[in-house]
Amino acid sequence: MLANVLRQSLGRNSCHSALLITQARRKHDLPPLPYAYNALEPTISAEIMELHHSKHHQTYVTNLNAAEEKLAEATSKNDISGVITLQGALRFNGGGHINHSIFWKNLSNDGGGLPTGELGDAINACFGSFDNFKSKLSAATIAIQGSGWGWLGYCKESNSLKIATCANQDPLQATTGYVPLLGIDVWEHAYYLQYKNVRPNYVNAIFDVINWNDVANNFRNAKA
Amino acid sequence: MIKALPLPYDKNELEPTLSKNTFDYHYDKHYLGYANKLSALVDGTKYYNMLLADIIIESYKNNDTPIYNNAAQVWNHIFYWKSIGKTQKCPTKLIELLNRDFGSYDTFIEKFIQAGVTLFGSGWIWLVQDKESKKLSILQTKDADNPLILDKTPILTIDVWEHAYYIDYKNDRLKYLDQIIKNNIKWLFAVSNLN
Repeated sequence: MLANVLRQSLGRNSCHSALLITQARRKHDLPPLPYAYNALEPTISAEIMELHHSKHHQTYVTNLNAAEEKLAEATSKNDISGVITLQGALRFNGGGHINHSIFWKNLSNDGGGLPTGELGDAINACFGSFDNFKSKLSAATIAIQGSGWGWLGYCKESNSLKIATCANQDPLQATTGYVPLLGIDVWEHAYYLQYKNVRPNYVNAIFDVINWNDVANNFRNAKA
Repeated sequence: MIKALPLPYDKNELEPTLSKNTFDYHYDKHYLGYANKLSALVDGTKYYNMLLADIIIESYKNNDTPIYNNAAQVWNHIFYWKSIGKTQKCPTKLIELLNRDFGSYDTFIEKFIQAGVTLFGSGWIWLVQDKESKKLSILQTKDADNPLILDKTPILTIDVWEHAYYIDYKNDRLKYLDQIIKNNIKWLFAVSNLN
C-alpha cells in the first residue's frame, strides 16, 4: 500500500529510492525454496517443507534482522555489554539462517544417486567408498543429542573432506573452520510429523533427495 | 534395574492441551525408548542396582555420556508426567512463595513461559528450590540436563524438546507453553517437592 501511494505521488524512481531508504536496515531475506513444497515427497512431506521453510527459517531471518539492528545500536553507543549480550541471538539466528539456506539447495526432487567427478573421487579418497562415507555421516548425525546438524565439510588446511556435527544452529565454518558442503538437519521439526521418533529412517531416506550437483558446486567453491 | 513407570493417567487426560496422539508417541516411543536403552546400557555394570537419581549423578561425574543421557531423560520424563494434569488450583502456601520470590503468581507464570520460549534447541524448564536459601527460581537446562546435577531441588518441569509439542502445536512453542502452564500444572505435586 505504501508503494502505491509513493508511486502515485512521487513517480517510479523516487518511489524506489524511498523504499530503499525505509528498507536500508533490512539485510536478510528468506530465500525462496528452489522447488515446490511437495517436490521432495515421499521423502519429506509438503507439510514439513512448508512449516520448515515458511515458519522456522523465516523466524531465524526475522530474529537475525532484529538482533543485527540491536547490535548496530549497541555498537554505535559503545555499549560493549550490550554487544556481548547479543552474541547468543546472533549465533542462534545467524546460524539458523546460514544452515537452512545451504540445506534447501542441498536437496532436490531430482536428487539421489551417487556423487561423481571430483567430489566422488574425494569421497572415495577420504572415506574409502561412498558407502563408508554414507555410513559414517548417518551414524554421526543420528547420534546427535538433542538438536543439531550433521555435516560433510571441507578442511582447507588438510585439503580433505570431513564429517562433523554441530549442536543447535551452530554454523559449521564458524564452529570448526570447515566449509559446509552438505548438511542434514536433525532438529525434530525437520522430520517429526512424518518420521516421529524414528530419526534413523529420516536420515537414511534423505540420501534419496540429495542434490550432488549442488554439493559438488559447494566443493568447487570451497577449494577455489 | 530400570522399570518404566506407567503414565499416572489416561493418555487423553490433558486434552485439549495435549492430544492422546502426542502421548502415544511421547510416552510409548520416546520415554519407553529411553527406559529400554538405559536398561540395556546398565546391564552388567556398577549402575545396575543404583537408584535412578544416583545413576544420573554418578554417570555425569564419570562422563558415562550414553548412560547419563538416557538416565536423565528417563528421570526428566517421569517428573514431567507428574508435573502436568487436569487443572488444579495453586495452594495458598505456594502462591505466597511465588509472591515472595517472583513478585506475584502472574509474574512467575509469564517468566516460566518466557523461559521456555527463549530456550534455544532442546531442553527443559524447571521451577527449582535452592537447598540452603529455600528460594524458588526458574532454570533452563539443555538436552537431558536436570537440576540434580546442579544440586537444586526440582519442583516442576515442562519439556520443551520439539517432540513434546510438535504434533499438536507445530512450530508454535509459545502457544504450547501458554496453554500447559496456565491450565495444566499439578500444583499439589509442586508443593510435595518443596523443602
